[in-house]
Amino acid sequence: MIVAHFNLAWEVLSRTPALARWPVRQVMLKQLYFTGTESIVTISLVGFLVGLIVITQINNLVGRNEVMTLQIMIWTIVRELGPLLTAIVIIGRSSSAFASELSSMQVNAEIKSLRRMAISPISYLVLPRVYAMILASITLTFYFQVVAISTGWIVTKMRMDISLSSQIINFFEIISFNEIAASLLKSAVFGMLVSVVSCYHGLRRKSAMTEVPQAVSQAVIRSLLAVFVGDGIITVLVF
Amino acid sequence: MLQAGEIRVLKVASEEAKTTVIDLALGELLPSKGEILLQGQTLDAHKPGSVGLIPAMGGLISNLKTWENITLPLWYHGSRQPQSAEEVVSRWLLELKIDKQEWEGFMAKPAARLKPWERKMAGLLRGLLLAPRLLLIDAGLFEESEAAHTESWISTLEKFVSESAHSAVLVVTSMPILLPWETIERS
Repeated sequence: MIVAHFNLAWEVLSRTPALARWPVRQVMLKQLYFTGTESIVTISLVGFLVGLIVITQINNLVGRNEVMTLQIMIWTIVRELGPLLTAIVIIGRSSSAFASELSSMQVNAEIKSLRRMAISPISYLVLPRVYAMILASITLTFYFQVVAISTGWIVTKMRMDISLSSQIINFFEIISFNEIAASLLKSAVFGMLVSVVSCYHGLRRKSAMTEVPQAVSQAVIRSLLAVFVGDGIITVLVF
Repeated sequence: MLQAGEIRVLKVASEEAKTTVIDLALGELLPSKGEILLQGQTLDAHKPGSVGLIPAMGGLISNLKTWENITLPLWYHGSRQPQSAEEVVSRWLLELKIDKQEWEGFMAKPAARLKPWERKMAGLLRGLLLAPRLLLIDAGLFEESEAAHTESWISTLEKFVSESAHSAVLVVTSMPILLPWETIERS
């Protein structure tokens, strides 16, 4: 099964030129709106709460040690929680939606109908979803980190009376390019993993509507698993 | 032998045989021996404009609107400009005797909300817009349809082949069906 996922991912990448086709770009824009724009409220809320919770715990742990506070904030929010929690929100919203939509199309013979119009379901359905999810994952991760870190700075100012300007200057002195790059790499890989796993389970051969919920739950569980495994591998390799 | 400008009905023994004929013509299946000729030339089903299918229930994609469904293969394969597609569809809608005031609502409706006859008609419009050399029709299109709809679809198809220099229509059925065209029976 893992090989089949890799095959699908490879097929998607090799069909990238199909993005030049207008209907494929239309699907990508729709998916970008659904996965990206419509997730902003949830990501804002989760980012704010994570910033509040994490920084409160850090303040309790290290007190008024500003450098240590910022260092732990980068370790937790930039390196780990940003990409991971964004991926979890995306899985909750889009993984299940991808799997159920594609499964229903499979059961209703719409996938067959596309093939009969000489339209590749991989190019028309999977490719735009994968690229939309990668783009949305990178953008939402960055946005999540901005919200969580800004909340952290404000909470630190209120609780520890450390000025905002000092925190911002020190933050940009401490954070390295590698940390930002690794965070973006993680979010891109998570986007790829979640979309490929979800589309794979959506497109698997089905004969009845009763198989759709099974496909959805498998897509969600396996996407979560793939993200945690991917996170483990990237973290060990990069940090 | 099916020539350009003709419409024939092919009656096969079973539903499975009908699916096999359609899949062979569309290149989904390969013939176990021999080759399929279309108007004397080897059929390349994957070449856009070669073979088109009108499925029994239209074969629409449920999350697309009617207009998007009708034009999807054209725009995907980049074979016609949107302006020209609009003109062709308007022309066939007139031929199908659809009231002009109903066009906009019909085209903007998501496929999932269309009535069965509307789904069939959208499939028919897609086939007419594609104007392939061989237009295959699943005879289910005419089954359980109102007589008025069937009549206008038949006359539209006749107009389509009579005006086309290169297209032919083949209706594939596994059931006895009353259509005004010559029937070829294959067991």
